[in-house]
This record gives sequence, C-alpha cells and structure tokens, in this order.
Amino acid sequence: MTPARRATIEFLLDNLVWLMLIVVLIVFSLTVPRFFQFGIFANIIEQSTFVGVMAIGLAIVIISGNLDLSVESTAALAAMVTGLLFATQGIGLGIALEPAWLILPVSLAIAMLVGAAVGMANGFFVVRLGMSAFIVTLASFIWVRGLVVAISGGRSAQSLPAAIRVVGTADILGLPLLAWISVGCFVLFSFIMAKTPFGRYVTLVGGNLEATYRAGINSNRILFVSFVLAGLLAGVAGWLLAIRTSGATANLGVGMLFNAFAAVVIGGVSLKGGIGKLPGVYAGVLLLYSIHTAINLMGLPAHYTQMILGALVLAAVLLDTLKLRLREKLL
Amino acid sequence: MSENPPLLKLEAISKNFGAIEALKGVDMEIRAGEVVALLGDNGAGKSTLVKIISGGLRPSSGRIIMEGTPRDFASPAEAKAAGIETVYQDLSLCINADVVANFFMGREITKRFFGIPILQERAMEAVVAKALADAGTRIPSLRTNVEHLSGGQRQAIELNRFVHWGGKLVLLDEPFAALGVEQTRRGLDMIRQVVARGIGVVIITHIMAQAFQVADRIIVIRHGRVAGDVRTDETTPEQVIDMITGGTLSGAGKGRDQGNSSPATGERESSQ
Amino acid sequence: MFAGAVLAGAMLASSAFAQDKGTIYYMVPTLLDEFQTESVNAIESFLAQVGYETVTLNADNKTDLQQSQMNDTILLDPAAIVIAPVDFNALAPAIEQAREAGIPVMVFDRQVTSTKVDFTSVAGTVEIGHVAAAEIQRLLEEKNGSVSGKVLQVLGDPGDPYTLDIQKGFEERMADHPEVEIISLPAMQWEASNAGSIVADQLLANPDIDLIFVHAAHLAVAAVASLEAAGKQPGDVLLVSSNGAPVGLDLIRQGWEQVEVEQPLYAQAAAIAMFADKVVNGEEIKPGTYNVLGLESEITIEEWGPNLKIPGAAITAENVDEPRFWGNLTPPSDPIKPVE
Repeated sequence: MTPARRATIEFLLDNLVWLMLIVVLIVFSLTVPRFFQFGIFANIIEQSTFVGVMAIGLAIVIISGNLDLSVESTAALAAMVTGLLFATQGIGLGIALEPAWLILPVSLAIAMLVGAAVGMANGFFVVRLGMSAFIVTLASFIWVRGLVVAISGGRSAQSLPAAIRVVGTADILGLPLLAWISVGCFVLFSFIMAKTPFGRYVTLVGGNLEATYRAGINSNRILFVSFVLAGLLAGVAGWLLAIRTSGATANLGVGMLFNAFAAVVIGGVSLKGGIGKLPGVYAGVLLLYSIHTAINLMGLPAHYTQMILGALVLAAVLLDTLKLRLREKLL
Repeated sequence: MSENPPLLKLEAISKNFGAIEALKGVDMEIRAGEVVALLGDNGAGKSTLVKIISGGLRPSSGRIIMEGTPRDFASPAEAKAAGIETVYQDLSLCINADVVANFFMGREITKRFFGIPILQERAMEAVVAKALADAGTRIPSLRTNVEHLSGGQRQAIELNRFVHWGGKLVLLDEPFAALGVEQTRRGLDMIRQVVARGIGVVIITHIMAQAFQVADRIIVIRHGRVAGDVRTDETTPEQVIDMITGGTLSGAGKGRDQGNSSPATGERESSQ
Repeated sequence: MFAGAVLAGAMLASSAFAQDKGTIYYMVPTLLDEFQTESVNAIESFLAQVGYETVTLNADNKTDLQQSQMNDTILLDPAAIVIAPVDFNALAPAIEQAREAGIPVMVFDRQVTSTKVDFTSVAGTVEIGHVAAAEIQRLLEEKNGSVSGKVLQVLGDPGDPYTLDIQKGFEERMADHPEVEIISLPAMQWEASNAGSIVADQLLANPDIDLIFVHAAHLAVAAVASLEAAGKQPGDVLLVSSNGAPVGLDLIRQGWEQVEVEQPLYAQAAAIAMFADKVVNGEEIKPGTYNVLGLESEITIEEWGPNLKIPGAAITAENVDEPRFWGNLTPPSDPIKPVE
C-alpha cells in the first residue's frame, strides 16, 4: 500500500465519527420535519455545551488511563454554589458586586475552584494513595451530590443577575454565546492535547505508564493534573448550566454522566486509555445532541425516548468497533 | 589505571525483598568508553542490579558513586538526568503513539509562545528521520503508531533512541531478544559507535557469543554476588560458564573474594 | 431557607414539652425537590404540635431503599408510619407487613390503591391535571378568542406515575377541544436543563406555540431561561406549571408565568397531624367534609381505606401573595388541632 493511500484511509478512519455526524444530520434533515434550519443547528451546538465541556475533562482522564464518574455531581456542585451565592430568588444569597460585570469572572473562578477541589480530592486518592479510580470517583459521584443537597437543603436558587445571564442569552453572528464557548473550549483543549508536551504525555501515560516513568516523565503529576482538569472543566460546565437555567436545583445535571460517557466513547476514546482525540469527542457530543434534538422534534411518545437513545448509542459504539476491524483489514 | 575516577562505581550494593536477599554486596566499576557484559543465570540478580543503577529501585545498602560523587537515584528521571540511559528487556515504548513521539518521549523539542511550550513536530521528525537513516533502520512512516510495527522495528527504535541520546552510561537489558541476525549485527555496531563517543555501556545478555563479540570486560553475577570480573581477552567461554554455574576452575578473577567479604546488612527494608 | 430555620426552631421548641405520644416515621421519597423538602418541615412541625416526635427517612428516589427502610422501621415499633412512596405499588407489600405488625400506616401525597391503609392524604394528581386544563382553556380563550392553539406539555420523567397522572387528567379534559394541539415531551429525570432544551427546540420547530405547560415549577424556570434566550418577553408565550414551588410564584410575580396549580402541601401535611390520634388509637374515621387549613376537603371511604382529597388551587397574579400557598413558605400560624 502506498503511504499516501495509507494516510488517506487512516485519516478517514480517524474521523469516522465526523462522517457519521454528517450522515445523521443529512438523514434527520430529510426525514424530520422542521429539522433543517439554522436555528436547530445552533440549538444542537448550544445544548452540547454542558455535556461537551464536561466530556473534555472526562476524555482527558480516560485517555490518561483512568476514569472519572464524578463529573456530573461536580458540575451540579459548581452550579449550586454559583446559584447559592449569586441568585436573587429562592435560597440564593444574591451577592452583588461593584461594578456589576465583576460577577462574571468572580463566579466563574469560584465554580472552577470548586470543580478543581473535587478533582484534587479524586487525584489524591487515586494517584497518591493508589486507590481504584472507579471506586474513588464513584464515591465522589455520591458524596458530591450529597453535598449539593446539604448546602441547598433540597431547595433551589433562582434568577441570576442580568450581568451573568448575558452569557446564556447573547448571540454572536447568530450563534448563541454558549455555543461559541463550547466550540472555544474544544479548540483550546484540542490544541493543548495535540500540541503541548502535557497533551502528548497524557496520551503516552495512558498507553504505557511504565515506559513514561522510565523515560523520566513525571507520570503521577500528569495523572493528577488530568483529574484536576476534569474537575475544573466540570466546574465550568456547572457554571454554564446554572446560567442556562438561571439558577440551580438539587437535581440539576442528573443523567449527564451517561451522556458524557456515551459521547466520549462515540467520539473514539478507548476506555482502556491512550487512545482518542478531542475533536472526535466533540463530534460525539454533537451526534448525541442531534439525536436528542431529533427526538424532541419528532415528539415521540415519552416512554420510547430512552429506548431509542440507548439503541442509537449502542449502534454508534458498534460502528466504532467495526472501525477497528476495518483498520486491521485495510492496514 | 587513569587518574580519572571511574564513570560508575558500585560499593557493597545489597537489596532485600522482604526476607529474600537478591543482592548480597556487589562491587563493580564501569569506565567511560568501556563495554561491560553482565552475565549470570536466571534469578542471579542481574535485573535487580540494572534497576538499581537506572533508578527504578533503591538499594537496601551500599553506595552508587558516579564520577566520584555518591548518588542516590529516587526515580529513573533522576538517573536519566545524571546521564544514565536504559534500554529495558520489555520494551519501553508507547505503542499507542507514533515513532517520533516515542523517540522523543520526555525530551520533546518545544518552542515557547507566550510562555506555553509548543511541540515542534517538524523539527522532531527531521531528527528521527536522520537518526534512523544513519542507523540504516527503515520504517514506512514516522507518523505510524508503533502498534503497527514489527517486533524488530520496535527494538530498532529503542536502540536508535539510546544511540541518539547517549548520555554517559547506557544500560542494555537483553537488547537483541527480538532481532534477527542482520539486525543484531547492526545493533552490535551501534554499541561500538556509542562507545567510540566515550560512553560507558553495560549489556546484559545470556548469549555468550555476543558478550565475547562486543564486551571489553565480563562481570558474572551468581547468587547476588560478583562471581567473576575478567577482561574478555583474558578468559574463555568455558571459564565464564564455570563462573555462571559455580564450577571450580581457576582464573575467576578478583570478584570471588570480594563477593564473600560483605554480606547484605539490609539497613533499609524494602516493601517492593 | 429562613422559613425552614424558623420551622425547625418551632419544632425544637414544641418537641421539648410534647413528646409523650410516641414516634412517627415519615418516609420521604427524595430531597432533590422542593416540595418534598418542605413536606419534611411541615410534617415534622405539625406532628410535633399534636404531640408526636417525627423521624424522617429519605429514600433517595430508590424503591429498594424505601422497602428496606420500611422493614427496619417495623422492627422499631413506632406509633405510626407516614409514607410517600417512591413507587405507587412496589411499596404495597411493605405497607401490608407494617399493618400486620400492628403499625398503622398513613399515605401522604402519593396515592396507594392496591392495598388497604389507615389514612390517605392526597391532593389528587389527576385533579391537578383537571385544574390545569380548566385554567389553560381559559388562557387560550382569552388569547385566541376560542379554545384553540398549540400547547407544549413538558412532563417530568416518563417513568414517574406522578407526571403521568397529571398528563392523564389534563388530556382527559382537553379531549373535548380538538382545536388544541398538544405536543408532549418528557424532561428526563425531572432535570431542568432537559426541559430548557425541549423548549428551545420546540420554539424553532413550532414557532406558533401559544402555551407551555410544565409539570413542576423548577422546570418552568428553565423554560423561561430558554424563552428569554429566544428573545421572548413575558407573556409572549403563556406558561402554566404545577406544584406551586416558591420559584413558580416568583415567575408569576415577574409576569413570565400565568398560572401555577398548587399542590396544597400545608393542608396535606396538616391533615396527617389532624388525624394522627385517630389513626394511632385505631378509632374510626368518618366520611364527610372537613376543614383543613381553610380548604374544604372530603373524606371518602374507599377500598383502600379512608381517603382525604384536598383540592389544589390555581395561583395567579391576583392571589399569589396569599400565605396559604406553601410556595410562600410561611406555614400557618394557628396550631393544628386533632380531629375530635
């Protein structure tokens, strides 16, 4: 096989999930009434924001060879802290800052801090104490959600001030600001993963921890930072979620872990670690929300929605397995 | 003997794993520009010794002296920083990454933009292409993931890596296990090439012919002690086999007496 | 939050002198929703006023957890058990077990009809759907001149009978008006951002939506956020919600929401306290009309025992500030008196 042909096939296989996305969008456009319009596509990108930002961190941890089940609860905690401090109704304390716009960076920083703190706790137990990532982050998934209920007393905070709500309502070039934020996050972290030593090391550590240790890479630091990043990004996702829903309820974000995992796997990240690229993950998130949106538009009977979603996720992952076989045959 | 201190000197190195004494007081020296073959039966303690020199394990007692300075390597990174390169028996490659990424693992060429280090892929690819071409290794694409390469190609990458990076001392743990005849010959050439640059080489092997072909000196480890330390041109394969198996032939060299002199004291218990 | 603290304080104060009648366990299905959270405060406080100490167990929305909580509680031999089942029917065996052990069981808020219980205090979820239908017909008529148009109904989780009952009641009453098109979609697991996504999508797919009916007030908040993001002003799209949580009342005050069909939480909880003595002592509960916190409520004797149904009220901008609505979080000041 010529190198050029080999490169073309590798490129196509690497980006199969984008191909799938395009096919699915075309099929939906042709079959689902009112699907084909700019606003729907903008909605898909906007709705992908929360799970998308969460999935970036999850993907980084999975590529590094670990796993983080706590991202959903971490996002909920960041959302609740944001709501609790700055919302004006419900349990919100309605803290106001002078000048008003200051609330934007301050609340974002707090949400990121909250997320990073959970990530550090996960990293400490997994990397320092050598505990199983599955158990540690499952525990976090539970206790962090418990903390959400504890600090909120099961109540909700509503009505964030306009200075912060603008993130959820503003448009740039017809595309909601939220959509731009998720695109921006993916571009930034795709760049970090592909072009910086840190990103390179995450992949290498996930592929062969021993080899990176022997090569003098501080592999424990890479693993730890991956957890912190996952927490931090979950914090950002929670902050965006609070803005989108203009507050926070105790059950905010419930079920997102499933979507984030599905998107990461559909996007071509191997749960074994070391394999996967963030642009693929973004395609996975978009694919998932295209399906969500199509189901919303079709107005399918309530009970079937979950069944259809599950079947579609399975089909997508099946296609990904097929891709591996195809690669073995062709290369 | 030269006035310079030896490149690496081990003094009474011992290592306990619980109640088991893997090394019972090893003394040896390696000079710059010298190839030392480390021989011994399975379980004699060769691999433990290599791990201690390369920073993967810490000795229970004894001293590591590099160029006259006592050193204590807490990790492979520290040994590497001191100039010790290791090629392990089980390959240290990340098969999920491409050839260039593996070649530069931990030493990537970067350029800082606004303080952020950015990988310089083109520059790295050029270096790898040149290094492989110089060594006569052919790999279809440097951007192919290592998982798609053959065992021989993988080992060639490892060997090229040490030739390129060199350092001061290279440890090779069974480096030719997966290589064919022609590739092994090329591998031995590489060792000569490295030594010519004044680098010390320790090669662990169980193939006697290879040891005699490439080494200046042969050190035999038996039951955690140095059972023989002889110049290659002053001994024969038969004598070496006797040292390995504990035969009684004479000419085993100075290592014998030393081996009995310092039993392992085990100041620090190791839990590993 | 402050009202909760006051309630807790009141409970502590009263429990100091009135703890002689025994302990009643309250099985709350979850604390992830404001109605349930406030129900704990209300039940604990009202039962304290009539002389019982209350211990609350949270089942975290898990049927199996609630079953094992029931089993454990039976062993503790309490004066009575108040249960709001996670699943309407799955808890029936546990309820039977408790009653066989001689522990009376009162059902709160979520009706159980498959087995006999000692007392039931419910708002009637189907009836909430009826009230919502009547209000929505009124709103559509005011807007379009006749009962016609397009309604987006956002359910809670499709696996939750509570939301399905509201849907049933609502659609029963809307069946007479074929000119109203109803689009029904579920916000999985009652999660707010899911509701927001549904509204955002449907505004594009069906730009002519006249009215959105969500099955809980916290979903209405997300719906409003989506309306706002789509450039709508309060009143452009009518909004009706059910359960009467504080956030829903805030939305009415802001003009985004027109009607909130309240679940009469305080009355439901007060009824439990009013009838607690009769239930614990095994006295007969007579059918008829009772005044529960000013609401005319009716007890009927059903197959599953005495059943008290309290009408849910429609909250609008005119009456939103009345303290009787639990969403204002000011529990009634008059002490609860046991029924003679």
